Amino acid sequence: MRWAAGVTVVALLLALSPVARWLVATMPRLLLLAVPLWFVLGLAATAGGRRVWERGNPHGLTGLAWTLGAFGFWMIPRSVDAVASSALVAGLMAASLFAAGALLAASWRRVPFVIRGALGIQGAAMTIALGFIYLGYTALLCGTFNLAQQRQTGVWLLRLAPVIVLIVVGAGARALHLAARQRSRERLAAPTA
Amino acid sequence: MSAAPGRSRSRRVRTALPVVLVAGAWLALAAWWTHGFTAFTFFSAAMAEAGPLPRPAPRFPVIDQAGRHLDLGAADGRFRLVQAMYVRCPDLCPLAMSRLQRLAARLADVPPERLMTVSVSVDHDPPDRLHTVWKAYGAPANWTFVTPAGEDGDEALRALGIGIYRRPDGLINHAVDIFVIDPAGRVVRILPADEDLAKTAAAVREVIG
Repeated sequence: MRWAAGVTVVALLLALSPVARWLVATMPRLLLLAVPLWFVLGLAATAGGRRVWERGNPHGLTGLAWTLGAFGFWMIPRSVDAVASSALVAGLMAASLFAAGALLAASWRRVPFVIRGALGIQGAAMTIALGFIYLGYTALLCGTFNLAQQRQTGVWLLRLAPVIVLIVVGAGARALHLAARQRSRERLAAPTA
Repeated sequence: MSAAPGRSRSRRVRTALPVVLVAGAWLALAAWWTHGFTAFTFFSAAMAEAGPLPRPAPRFPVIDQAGRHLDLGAADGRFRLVQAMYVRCPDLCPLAMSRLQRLAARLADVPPERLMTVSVSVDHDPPDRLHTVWKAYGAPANWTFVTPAGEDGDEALRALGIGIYRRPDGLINHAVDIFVIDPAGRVVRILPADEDLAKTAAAVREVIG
């Protein structure tokens, strides 16, 4: 509880500091630093407490719906523009992504393995697809920034993509390994006829 | 006995309700924000906010490269292809201008009394600067360069459907789609900036008949 409160206070101080404006001043910073930062702070706030949200969160799907909704909404180019040009909207983004991280951390263990795997693969695929779109699109997608920043964002997304793929594959392999070990333990423990 | 399935259904509904509410709230927000999932960028939102096509063009007093006063939204009996331009643009405008130049050349057989291509300065360039740029593009008879005549040029551009954003570094971002205004002063079509030029020319010929 103390840990969660501490992380929340840090996030709040960060959101109110000049750093928050600096984070959204360019397109690469906004999409590659600010968005993950608020989400990771939210994850950290809940993950430290090892709490699991059960009531009103069947199979962790309510937390998942919030996370997907928040990421989907803030990835809309018009939303990115609104964040860059309004401190209020930037604050809303920070709060909703912080909540997304916190809710996902409290829901993740309840989400079925197949859904977790599909989301991981989808996340990696989206990173690659977005990277190519930002790199190759010849018109401005976000009206607040310029073409050089758009391309730079694309380049960095493509550089990050292999890391995300490795994380997804590693997490999947670990989960499968743990499940197999659990099954073999259960088999050994079962009484023989 | 018969109450059990009903209770179970109601419990399932209660269980699923938070998921549906959260997902529904985000979807509703996104639908509102993107004008029904049709406008995902600042520029397409400006187009959507200007209203459905065909729509009356706003009153838009401008001055051309020769210093003549015109109203882009007037019912002046000719078609107009209107595109925003930013002469100092380091990004896309040179490409968009070159494309418009090639489009005007393709449509050079249509008399200027029937069809006029218009580039509107978003930077309020004075007529003499417009004249210099116009000459640099070969001074075509069917292509006019104009600058807003009043202080509310940005407002008129937005009312036409052209999204414009003045960046903190002093540069200007704007839409480069081509807006077709008919002889009655109505915006009848918006031609995407990234469309194949032959397709754009064919679309213009289809509109002007």
